[in-house]
Amino acid sequence: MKTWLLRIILMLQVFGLISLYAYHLNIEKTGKTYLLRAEPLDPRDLLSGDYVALQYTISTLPDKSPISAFNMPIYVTLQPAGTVWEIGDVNEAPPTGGVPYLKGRVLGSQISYGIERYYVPEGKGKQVPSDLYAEIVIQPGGTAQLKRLYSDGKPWPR
Amino acid sequence: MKPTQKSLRPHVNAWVEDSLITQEQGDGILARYPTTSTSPATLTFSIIGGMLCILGVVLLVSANWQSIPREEKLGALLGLLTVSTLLGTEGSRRKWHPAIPEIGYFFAAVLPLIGLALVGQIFNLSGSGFALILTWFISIFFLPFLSFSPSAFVVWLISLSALVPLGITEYHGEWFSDEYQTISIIYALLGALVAAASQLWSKAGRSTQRAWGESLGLILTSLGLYAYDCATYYPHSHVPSWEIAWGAVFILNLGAIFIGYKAHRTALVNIGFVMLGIIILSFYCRLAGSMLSTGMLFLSAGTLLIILIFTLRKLRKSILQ
Repeated sequence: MKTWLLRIILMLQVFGLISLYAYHLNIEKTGKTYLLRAEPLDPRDLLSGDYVALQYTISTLPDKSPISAFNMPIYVTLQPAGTVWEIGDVNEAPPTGGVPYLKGRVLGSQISYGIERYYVPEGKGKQVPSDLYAEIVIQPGGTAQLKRLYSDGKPWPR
Repeated sequence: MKPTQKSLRPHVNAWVEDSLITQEQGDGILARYPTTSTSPATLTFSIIGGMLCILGVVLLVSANWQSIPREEKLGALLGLLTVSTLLGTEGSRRKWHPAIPEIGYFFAAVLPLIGLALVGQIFNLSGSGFALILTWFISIFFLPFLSFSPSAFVVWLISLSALVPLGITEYHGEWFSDEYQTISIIYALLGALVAAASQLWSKAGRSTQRAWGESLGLILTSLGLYAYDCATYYPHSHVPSWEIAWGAVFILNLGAIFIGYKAHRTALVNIGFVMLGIIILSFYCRLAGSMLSTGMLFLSAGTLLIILIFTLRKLRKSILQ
């Protein structure tokens, strides 16, 4: 048995997990934040625990959109609507000109952005308020990360 | 329990005192036996205890204690991962009880997955399950082959088996009539590959890993073929594919039992019998057409099998003579 090789694997595993953590922490700390209107559901994941499944007002593909292919990557621009941001144009290529945009995937008439789960402590997901707002962070490629949920102007769950 | 030097020494000393054997002969006899024994029950129950502990860790992580700072949660998990791997390496090197390094390696194989789930939980990531399992599989890819740990190898096989349905469903791989049948066929092929590749463990003198590989391979292939036609409500052709697939499982497990008896592989015999039981009961309950045709099928298969085994026995005797 190569003990030193096993120790190298251990170091790589630890380094990998710390790098993954640091990568997402960097996005959370340095990315620009946007507020989206969200609607909740409440399922459970056996590995990561209770979470609130979210659907956003930007999750529905606009009727006039020409894109219909399944599981296809798309780019959605955001436009301000008061304090929150709403869906703008939907394109197959990333937009130019500094306009904020999200990268997603078309799933039928819905768009998935990878920010549809918010993990909560056990039991806290049973009574989810209906007025939820999601604070998201977007990195330059359009990949989003869900930072925090707000209800009634305060972070949720309390 | 197998005899050891410790258990035999009083008897050998008595034989030497009675001048039945010389001291050198006594030492020679003792040298043929291990110093201490490892009870398979102790090892098995230790691994079951380890499994319960790891499930406990999973549930503690799932409970999502937001009062604990996330850096501390990740730090505790990385600490546990480090301790587990060191327990495995040091336990093997210092010849501790085999259950201790085995539990260490078992934790070292599962904890990277819990770590990935924890990071996903902290940052609310809802990405691909395939990517999660693939990252886990890559992170433990070399562990069973460097540690020679059977439990790490079983975890490795489970992660490999989990990749197949996740990859096919997420990327909509339909190389056969639908995703379900694609998964079944890939499972059947993967099982055969795992069982065949596990023979390489014999070269390293690791019969436990070989037995696990053969057993899981046989289970994967049998279940893959068994489930092949279960979800097809509107068959594309009139060929009764489930009867062919179940028949293949029957013959495969007959072969496994035969090899198991010939090569003294108890696991193959046991699994083969369980699978045969499932297949015969399934045929009986589902009925291949009607009671008449199922009855005829059972009668002909049973008669054929009896004739075949006696013919082979007679043939073997004539060759030996």
